[in-house]
Amino acid sequence: MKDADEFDNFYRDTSRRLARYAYGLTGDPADAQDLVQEAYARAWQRWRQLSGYEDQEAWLRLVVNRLSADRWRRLGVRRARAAAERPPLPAAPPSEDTVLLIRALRTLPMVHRRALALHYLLDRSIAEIAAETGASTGTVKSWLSRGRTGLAAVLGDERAPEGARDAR
Amino acid sequence: MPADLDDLFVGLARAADAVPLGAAERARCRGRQRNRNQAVLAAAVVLLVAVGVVAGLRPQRHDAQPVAPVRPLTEVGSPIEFGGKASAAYSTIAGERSFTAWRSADGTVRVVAQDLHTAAVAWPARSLGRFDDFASVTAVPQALLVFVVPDSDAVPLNDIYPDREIHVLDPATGRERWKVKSAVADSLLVNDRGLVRTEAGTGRTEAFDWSTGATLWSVPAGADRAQYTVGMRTANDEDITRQTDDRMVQVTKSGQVRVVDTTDGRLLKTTTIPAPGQGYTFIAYEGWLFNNERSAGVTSPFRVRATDLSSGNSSVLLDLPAGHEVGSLWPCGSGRLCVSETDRDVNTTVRAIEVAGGQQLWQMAGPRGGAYGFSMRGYSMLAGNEATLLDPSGRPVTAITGSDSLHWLGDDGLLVVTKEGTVQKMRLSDGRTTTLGQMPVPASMCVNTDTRIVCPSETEVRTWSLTG
Repeated sequence: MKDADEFDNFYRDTSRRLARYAYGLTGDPADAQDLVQEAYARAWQRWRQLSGYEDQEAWLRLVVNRLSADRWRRLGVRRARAAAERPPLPAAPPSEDTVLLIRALRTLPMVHRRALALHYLLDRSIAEIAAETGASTGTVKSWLSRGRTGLAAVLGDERAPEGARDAR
Repeated sequence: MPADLDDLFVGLARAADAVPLGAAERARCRGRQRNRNQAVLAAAVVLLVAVGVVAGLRPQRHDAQPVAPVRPLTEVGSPIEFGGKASAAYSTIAGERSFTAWRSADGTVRVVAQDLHTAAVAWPARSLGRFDDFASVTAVPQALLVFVVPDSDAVPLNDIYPDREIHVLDPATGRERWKVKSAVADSLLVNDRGLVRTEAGTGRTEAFDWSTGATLWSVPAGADRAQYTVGMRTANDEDITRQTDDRMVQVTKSGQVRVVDTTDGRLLKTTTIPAPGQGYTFIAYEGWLFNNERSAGVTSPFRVRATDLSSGNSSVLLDLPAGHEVGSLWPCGSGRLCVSETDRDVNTTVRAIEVAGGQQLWQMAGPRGGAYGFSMRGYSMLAGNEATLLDPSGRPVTAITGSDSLHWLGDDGLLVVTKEGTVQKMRLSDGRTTTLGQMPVPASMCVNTDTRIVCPSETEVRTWSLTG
């Protein structure tokens, strides 16, 4: 059961971070739960191969990207309505600020949400996001800037666009 | 409202950290289930599970047999050596031959055929080329299929990129006939005429002739493309690589159910069910279609649906409480469906339901962490962190921990290979075990018939007799 032990350790060490990322992308705790379980199920399917990867977490995030994108496309026609809906309650109800942020995130293009989730929820630098996404650092800066602007427009917070993290 | 995004995201991270996550074992269980769903062709035996950590067979209703020296298992023929340490090696059996494929350190994948009775080489090792990975080998009477990944740098970050190649060989000579690319998530079924593939990426279904690889028939995806494709099984199908019923069932994105003749692609019947979500499980058995589904939106409780493909009538067999998940569905006797489900604490419950009337026949607590099941002659094997054999009334016959693999053996038995290489036959009816012998080197990837067991290791493949 060496593989199972290794996998369980990997799950224990990384699943919480993946849940943050999935929650950031979807804004939905139940979706985040499902996506995390599905991503790790797929990881276990090919664990022999995946365990040799340098960045297994990046692989998991890409699985979550694709699955969440599929969901997003399916829900696309309901996007405007969904943006106005309060997300379902997780185990611990989110604060009002969190509800507002989720609602604002839902109005953004996926690529902006992904960059914001990596930057703010997983503490990834611009260079790291660029490496993971295959984009230039300039493009990542643009995603983050436009993401913040989009959030500010919805949140109505005039100070939000001047995020202090560009210096990374 | 907080002044900056940092504070808002800190709050979001805190909310995310409070989201309850399932246990790793549940993800592994789900992964195994996905493998089983996808690997119709990759499984050459009815049942092969790796369970437990500590060796030992634990009959529940019998005292342990006296400890005695175990005689060696009788080897048939001579080992076939790989000429080095293989990164992967698998065997499969079809008819009177066994086939073993392995990948050497330099990436070369080779395959050899042996006579099952004598273990003599039927045709010598043939190279298929160099590949980054070797996934499996399986045989049907008409063809030998070897699954490889040519370029792992192109390994997809999803399941629908066609990274995998299936090499189709003549089982009589070992000559390569043709090859086709196929994604992990593609559905693959076989019949006497050929291989039927439904592409996960496009939804297109195509049948390839065993001899030439030519397209026998194809069905374009259409606007409402197939999301799930399963072969129709019957009670006689002990080997999941072959269905005796030449029908397959496709469920489209909108929930249309299409029954298709796999020999010519004819649409035989349609009906509708609720549109399927991701990660659902579908089972087609004896003219019925079974699946798990959310009862409403993405956060609603799961339930189990049964659809009579003759009449088109569809109904809910089982409603689960909120937070419970279906781990596995499997037919467990004619007209019966077994359901394994887990709660938030990954406690497992297994139920048997009489399909026509929707009556629950029995229920029992399964292994913690989830379980998936297989059935033969009404007996079910529950596999998860441990394995439990259930009789048709749901009574546990035997719990097995630490065995390396389990295989159905004949009409009334299980073949148990322990981690130490001890090979035992277990009688289904009462769990009594008979030790058949000891392999000198433990082997975990064996395949067997009633009389032979073929075991590849890192360096060689050996054949043993199960009848002395």
